Amino acid sequence: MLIDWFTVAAQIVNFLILVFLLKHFLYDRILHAMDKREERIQNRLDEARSKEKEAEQETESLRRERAELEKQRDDILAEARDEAGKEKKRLVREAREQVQSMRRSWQESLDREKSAFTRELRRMAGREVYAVCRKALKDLADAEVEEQMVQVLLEHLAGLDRGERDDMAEAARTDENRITVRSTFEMPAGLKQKATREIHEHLGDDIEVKYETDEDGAPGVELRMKGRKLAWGFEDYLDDLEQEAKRVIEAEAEKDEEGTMQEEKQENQEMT
Amino acid sequence: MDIKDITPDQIVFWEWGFVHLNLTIIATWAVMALMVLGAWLITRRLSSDLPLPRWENLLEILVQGMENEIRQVSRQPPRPYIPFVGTLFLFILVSNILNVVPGYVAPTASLSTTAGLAICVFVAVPGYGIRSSGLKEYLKQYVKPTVIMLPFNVMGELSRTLALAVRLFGNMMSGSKIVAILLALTPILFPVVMNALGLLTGVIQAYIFAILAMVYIASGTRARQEREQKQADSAGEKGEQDQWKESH
Repeated sequence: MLIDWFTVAAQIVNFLILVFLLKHFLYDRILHAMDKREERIQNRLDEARSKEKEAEQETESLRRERAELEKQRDDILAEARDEAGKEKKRLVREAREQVQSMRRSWQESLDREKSAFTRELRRMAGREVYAVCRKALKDLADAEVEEQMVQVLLEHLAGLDRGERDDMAEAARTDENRITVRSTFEMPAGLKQKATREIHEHLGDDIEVKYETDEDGAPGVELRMKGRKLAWGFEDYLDDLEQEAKRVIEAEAEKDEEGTMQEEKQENQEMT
Repeated sequence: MDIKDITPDQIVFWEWGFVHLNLTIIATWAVMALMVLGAWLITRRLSSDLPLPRWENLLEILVQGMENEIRQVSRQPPRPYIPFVGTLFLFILVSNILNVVPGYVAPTASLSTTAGLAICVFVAVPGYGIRSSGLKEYLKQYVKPTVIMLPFNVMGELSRTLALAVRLFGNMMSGSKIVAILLALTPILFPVVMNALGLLTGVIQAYIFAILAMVYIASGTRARQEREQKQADSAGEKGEQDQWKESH
């Protein structure tokens, strides 16, 4: 008999005891440990996931903040650039205005100097030319230039037509019936008498003739009455000389100004 | 060949009337002691955290593997079946593997042991079936599809239990016997190869026994499964109908 029933019963009992023991010592414990670990791992994963989510949110908020900061920075930079540009323009304008005013004042002073120079030139030239002419006439022709000048003026007066002479007489009458003879030299008494005589003859006897000496003017002599003047002297020559001098000075000044204008243009281009 | 060489039941150490201690029972106790001691040693200090001790890891792999197998075979939560089916597998496995120890005879090479295990399965099948779906539902299965099938169903139940017992016994007994015979013929190399083959057969038989037990238990709890399936289907259909109604 291959089956021993006692052994079968014993093996069944043995097996049931083994089931009980293994359930107690093996399966329950192992499964419990596994469940616990799984739960723990799940918890950790959940935690990690929530942390990741938090980190993502944090990252997102940081990114937004950074973008905002960058935008603000850009705005501030743009504003600063704008202001700097405005400030630069203002400074340039001010500098230009300053330069302009300096140039104006310089121009004015130049003009003043120019006119003073021409005036001085005219005065000096007049005196020198007058002195030279006087000396030359005296040496070469034994003639007094003052006397000749007065003589020529009187000849001019005599050469005027009737109407003009009447106008002059009329002008003298409205000015307290007076004519002023102004000269740059002291006229000798003989010459004064001759002049007075001639004026009375051509314009009328009742006119009072007054003599004035003005050494600063251009050498010459003139008849002055209200609103009219009859003059003879170096004035015209000196006018020509002055014109020529002015022309030369202005030509020089223009040349200079062109140079400065070009420099300024270059500067402007560099700045823009 | 003597009958003693076929089954270790005949090697009796101590006898007192009907009660006697034979090699089968002694070997079984040895295997049980080894398994329980091993389990106790390993599970004494369990860690539910990392790092995992390697012996615990081994046991966890084993238990989890059994869980997965049971889940696949039964398509049910494996926890209720693990102690019974797992112990079947482990007991047969350890018994068979220990065959390499000289002087040891596997308890599974005794028809009494395999019959005892088969009887356990024979009882466990209706036990699990009744626990899961109730006595009435379970008994109904024997008259399906018709009442005529009742004797065949009962016969099937008995014959498969017998088959379970004889299959394991035949395989294990023959394995150890073949090794013994070959040892007498060619003492050097060939028995080693046969021993290795015997180990393989032992492992496979443990697996087959446990899986078949699980399949029988699963078929015993089929009534409940079917009912649940039906309920799930009807609930699904109802849900779909509700959805259909809602959408129209």
